[in-house]
Amino acid sequence: MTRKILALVIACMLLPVWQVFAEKPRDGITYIFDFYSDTGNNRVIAPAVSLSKKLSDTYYLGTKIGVDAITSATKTAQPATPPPAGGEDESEGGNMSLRVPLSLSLTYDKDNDTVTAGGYYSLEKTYTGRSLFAAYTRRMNLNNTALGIGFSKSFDNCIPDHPLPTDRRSERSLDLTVTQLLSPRQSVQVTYSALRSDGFLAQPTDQLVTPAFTSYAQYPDTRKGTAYAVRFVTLLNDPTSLHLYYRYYRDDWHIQSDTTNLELYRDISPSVVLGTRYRYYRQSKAYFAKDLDLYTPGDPLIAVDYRMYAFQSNTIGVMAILKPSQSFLSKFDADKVKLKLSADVFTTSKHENIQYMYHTDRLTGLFTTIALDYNF
Amino acid sequence: MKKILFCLILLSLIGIAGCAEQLVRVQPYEMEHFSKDKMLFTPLESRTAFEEHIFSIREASAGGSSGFQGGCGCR
Repeated sequence: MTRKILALVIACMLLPVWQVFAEKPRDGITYIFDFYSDTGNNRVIAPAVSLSKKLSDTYYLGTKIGVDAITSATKTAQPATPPPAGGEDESEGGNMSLRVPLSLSLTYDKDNDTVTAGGYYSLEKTYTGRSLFAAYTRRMNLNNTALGIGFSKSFDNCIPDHPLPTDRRSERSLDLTVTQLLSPRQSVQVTYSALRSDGFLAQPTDQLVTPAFTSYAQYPDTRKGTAYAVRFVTLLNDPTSLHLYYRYYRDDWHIQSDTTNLELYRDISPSVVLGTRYRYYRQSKAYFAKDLDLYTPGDPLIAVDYRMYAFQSNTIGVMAILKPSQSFLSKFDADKVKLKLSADVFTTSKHENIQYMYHTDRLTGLFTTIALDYNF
Repeated sequence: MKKILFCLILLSLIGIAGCAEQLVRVQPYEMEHFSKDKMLFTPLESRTAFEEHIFSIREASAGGSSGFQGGCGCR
């Protein structure tokens, strides 16, 4: 059970994300191989196939199916202090689980309007995930401007091994996006997101164990967050482009965060684009988060997860986009094929709750993506 | 807050509609750069989807990515 819940947290990365940009729908297939590993003993290997097929002049069918092999640490009740030096930590172990998530969508695209609607479903022994989403994009001003609006809602159910106030979790998001070309070399995109969550919002397995008492984590039943983001892309010179991104987020748990991302891409040759990135993130703590040794049995809200506390993280990465030559792919049209590779490493700042949960002073993780695009 | 947001959206739409000529900054024959991967907002779509979920799991923030996701309890 514990393994399932923790695996679920990691498995979220395998869910679909539907972009609302100014671009037209794709008619093609993508083979994806994602990998994730961190110092908290979590690992995901996730091959998937994503298909967007043009059905007629105006309709596209989208689907994504994959297999998630998830190995995650099994956490049970833990002491508030690290295990003694040389002592074996029996609370961790590698357990693998498999799941097959499926998503389907239908896109209508005509002239300057694009509408997409779809759903996601996954079933596990202890968790059912369901979501519906819809998006509308309108292009205008000779494709210089695009307005996008999207809505998604999930209806999840969890069957934990201990009583919860509710076994239901619902998350809703509304995204409004404006994309504008500024010049033949520059474009900008502004996004507003409204996020609402209710149900069991703490991880059911997070547990605070002190000499005086033991208690599961408990968060407020609802959460309202907003995010404001801006992206800017500019061509520095003919072979090099610069991508800048900033996001400000805040919610009614008093968590505020700043995210900045910088990426550079450069044409190395007609068939190779290389890129590099740096990302910085920092956040403040939730109003109910306290030092672990300050909690008392009478506290109605208890946080163990480091994500409810102030910390920062840094990410660096490299990317490559390769277009095989015709001689290399003699049986295929080389112009229809692209291989996209990326590898990123993130590391958080030191935090006592990371030490408590994962028995390491900071979390460091590696994630890689290999994607082979083929356009019909 | 909802009223402020509604007013901002309304003003934006009015502004976009009223400034249509000014917002045509790039003529169709000048858009060649935007067809290149390196000029897209997400040059590597699969990586963007993957990392957004990773960061939503490892951080307390979400949104701001014009992506729609759901069906999981990652936050």
